[in-house]
Amino acid sequence: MGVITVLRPDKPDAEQAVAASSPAGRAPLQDGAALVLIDNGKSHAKIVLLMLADELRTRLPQIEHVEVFSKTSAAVTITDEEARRLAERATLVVTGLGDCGACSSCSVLDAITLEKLGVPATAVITEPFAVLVEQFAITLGMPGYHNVTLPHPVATRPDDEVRELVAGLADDVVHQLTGSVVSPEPAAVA
Amino acid sequence: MSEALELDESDVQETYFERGWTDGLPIVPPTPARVEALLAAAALAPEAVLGTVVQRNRSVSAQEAAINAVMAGCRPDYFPIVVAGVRALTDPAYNANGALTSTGGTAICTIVSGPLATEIGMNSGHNVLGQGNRANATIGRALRLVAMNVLGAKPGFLDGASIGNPGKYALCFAESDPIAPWGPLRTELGYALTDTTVTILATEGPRQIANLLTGDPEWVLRGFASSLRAGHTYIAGKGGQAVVLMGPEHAGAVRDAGWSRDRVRDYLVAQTRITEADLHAAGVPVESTGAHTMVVEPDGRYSTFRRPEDILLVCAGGAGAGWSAVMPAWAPTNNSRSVTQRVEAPA
Repeated sequence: MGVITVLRPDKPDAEQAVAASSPAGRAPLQDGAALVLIDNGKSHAKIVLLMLADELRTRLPQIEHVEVFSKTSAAVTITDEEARRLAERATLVVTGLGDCGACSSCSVLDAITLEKLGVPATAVITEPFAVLVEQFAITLGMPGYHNVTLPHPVATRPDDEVRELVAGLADDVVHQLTGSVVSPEPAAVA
Repeated sequence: MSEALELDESDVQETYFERGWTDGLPIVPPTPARVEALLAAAALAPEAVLGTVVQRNRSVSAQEAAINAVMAGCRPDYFPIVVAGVRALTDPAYNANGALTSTGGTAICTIVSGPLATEIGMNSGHNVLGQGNRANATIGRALRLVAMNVLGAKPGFLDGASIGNPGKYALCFAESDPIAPWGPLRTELGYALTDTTVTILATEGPRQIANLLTGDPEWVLRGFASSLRAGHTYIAGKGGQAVVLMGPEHAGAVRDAGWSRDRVRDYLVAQTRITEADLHAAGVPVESTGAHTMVVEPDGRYSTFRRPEDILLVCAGGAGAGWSAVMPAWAPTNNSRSVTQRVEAPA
């Protein structure tokens, strides 16, 4: 057998972790801030996002308004027009709940879209989908983009347990959205 | 333009496996000459863009589609059908990003309706969903390879399927010639009888429907309805679509009783409306904290299909016994819809 020429069937450029887009800048939050929650309609999504909003307001008293935007499908992304309108009125954005393949990817894509429009944003997903959304962040030109993860599943847990899990995410969300660290633990003494 | 690789011919298969470019089966090496033959058959320039999936920041060029179709084993005269399939796959209504990422693990269920299917030797008869026909197998496989290699839908990358189904390798078939007075799917969708169309729907795997003991049209159709309305069917009570493939015995029994296609679809819509108790009997709670899936209607029922046209009714399969199949959509219609494209065959 000899050497033959064959063609690549894939798109190698699309799979490289090249940062083609930058996330929004992080700055100290000012009074009158608006938190927009992009609810994908999945079971418990709105509940989780509102629980998280309660936690964020205790840590970020500058948040004066909380708005919920509900999508028509968890498996689609927000439109360009929806993104533009949300970016006009949002200081911070949290999307979710990504507890399946299509919905976690779309929640992260929505968050990245808002980042590209200058609004700090993160997505609440469940653990099995962390690797998947990392790949989507690469595809969208924002490798290393952060999200927060809850244990899976969420929809079958009692509300009290969900609230406790959500409370455990809040400091990380504050850090991701504002760059600041909440209630740092004192350094351990050896 | 796609990158060319110089490989020892004996290394091609292993290289393509190692780089994750196959579906787990060997491929036909995509040499430039083979790829050009496919492009010529569809009269397309290599750089022509067949479609884009904006959520993935990826478009599909004619050359990329042809490379993957060669790998799948397509003959050049199959390529116009593959092109129509890729155009359908990238139509926003199909929502390729959602359908290819979902834990639901969707097949690209592909129905080819029209004279070109017969011309290239597609199977619409015995074993229509099974093995053995090159055109059915390789056209379906080509669409999957495009989804994997060009749109990134690979396990561990942008395909999040939990279980998947064997239809993810290929699920492509031809519709039988219409059984008078019923017309084919393409004319029902507004195309000419002389057209050839490709219709795709993101579906679960096929379910065979057995009913060998009755010729009563209502009894026959209740067999289909019992599968589509089952609580473990994700679209049950949520407003989805499905491919309903009627084998010759079942289609004949219903048609011979004087039922039109419209009456069949209306009956299936009615018979698949379910109650909360039906779901509970199947161990499925009604979703109460989500925003848009379960919508109870005034009589307390939930519709599996909200419109008769959400049932894609096709005739196919071999004569001899009472077998048919259904392929329910992976998700309700607010997530994804079937898309039809006319095949553009060069003169």
